[in-house]
Amino acid sequence: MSVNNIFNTQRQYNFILRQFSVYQNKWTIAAAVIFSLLLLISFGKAILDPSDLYDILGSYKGIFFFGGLILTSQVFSELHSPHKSYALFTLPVSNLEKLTGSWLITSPIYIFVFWTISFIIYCSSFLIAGEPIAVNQFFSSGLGNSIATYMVIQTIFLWGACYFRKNNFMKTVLSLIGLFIMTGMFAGLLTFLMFNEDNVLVFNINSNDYANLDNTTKRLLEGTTQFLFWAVLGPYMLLMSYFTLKERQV
Amino acid sequence: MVELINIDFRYKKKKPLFRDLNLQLSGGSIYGLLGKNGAGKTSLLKHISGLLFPNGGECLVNGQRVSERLPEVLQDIYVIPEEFALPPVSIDRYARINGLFYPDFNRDQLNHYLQEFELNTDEKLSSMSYGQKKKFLISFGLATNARLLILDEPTNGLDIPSKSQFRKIIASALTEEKLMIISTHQVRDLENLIDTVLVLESGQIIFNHNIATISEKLRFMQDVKAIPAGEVLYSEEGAGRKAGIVKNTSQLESRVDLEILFNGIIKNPAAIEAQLSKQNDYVC
Repeated sequence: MSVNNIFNTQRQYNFILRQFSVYQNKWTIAAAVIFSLLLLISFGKAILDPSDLYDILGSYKGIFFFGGLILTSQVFSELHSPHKSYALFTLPVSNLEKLTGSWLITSPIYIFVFWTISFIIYCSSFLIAGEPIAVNQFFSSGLGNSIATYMVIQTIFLWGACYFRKNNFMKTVLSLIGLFIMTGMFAGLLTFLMFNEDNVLVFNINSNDYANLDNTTKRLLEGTTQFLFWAVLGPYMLLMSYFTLKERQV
Repeated sequence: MVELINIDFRYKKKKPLFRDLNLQLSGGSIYGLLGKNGAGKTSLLKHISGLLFPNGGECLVNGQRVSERLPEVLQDIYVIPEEFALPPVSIDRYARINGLFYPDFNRDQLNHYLQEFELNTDEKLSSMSYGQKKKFLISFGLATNARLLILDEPTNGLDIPSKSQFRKIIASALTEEKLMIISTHQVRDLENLIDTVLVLESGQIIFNHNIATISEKLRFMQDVKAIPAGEVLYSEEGAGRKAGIVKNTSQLESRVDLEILFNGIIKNPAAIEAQLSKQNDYVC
């Protein structure tokens, strides 16, 4: 019988089951911490200060990001332990399935579980406060944008989880800071070269054109940055993670 | 089944571990991989199982590059490392979840091996001792029916009755299409078990002979003092005796002492190799 060496749905499902079994203790404790925190914040606000109860959504988002990125940075911890890595590497599952399985757990499954339970807690806190449940506020307070942003940023942490052997979370954050500083310096240098007084003269730009050029550049930069962030960064980091995983040895 | 072609490998730039290493292993055999500390036995096993990639050359299992880590190749390989950690689940749950990845996994077989090793399926892996965990991993590995089974120091941590159980189980599990590679320092545990002896030294396989040839051409003696010097291939002083290896000129097969054989190969490989390569010269 020929075996599909790239992707098999059943194998993918089995791999996700296996991951839940391997990390069950860690993830149960993490989930208990996260949801206890949500309960504490929500019920505390419901009892002590029930006005504007939907304000708690800001805290939910913070916990959602922090919890999700920590979970992501730990999803390949088996890979970095000399006593455990052999089991993952020799498991008859393709590299694509290992990556997809880990992504599914830390992105769509995590998002679904987090927001479903959060919604239940949110509704419960309104009931405790004796207020009508503001369902619309829950969904219209930038929830979609937060989820989309998480899904992009999460891929960077997924790569960090494959690449860094220890302290993946902190090292990924450090890499991001470094990247932002370098991008900022590059952009600053570029702006300085193009728009400082001397160079405006060098490029022979008169004052009317200068204002137009400024606006055009701003629009161009904004558009490019948005396109790079929303459409390129996520898939690119997933691709990087795939090759990092493929080339990884014990 | 396993083919290593011109393998070059180094951990550090100026310190190569394997240089142009070649090796061919075929099914239906149990290979005993011996070598001194740091000779590279574990690294060699890691290459064969796709855990390490060579800097040069290629490692094939069933004709496919193992470094690609394709599910088709990996479902026919099971590795039991010397040091390992198991998840905090019961034997039963572990088997249900991990058995799914191996198409020939047989639950009845696993239960049989567990019974032989006196392990309870309801027990949690995290509450077991190192030896019990090892016995479980050996049982699970055998029950996957993977055609290539790699065992690194499998008898470390096993008690005396378990060691003999281990030998019995391994011998009974071998079929024509299976290949087992056992790396160990506990050579006594492998006696009467392995078919072929491999010795790794200075990045090369310096010895690769089957037990039948060895026992036919070499004789292992606890005291070689009375043997003419020309017949002695290797000897070592100990406890008032001079144990050693001599030429086997009789038609009788000699019992192979792996410890003396290993020492002889390391100290005087040329003489032993010459005797094994020689045509039979029986004195009738």
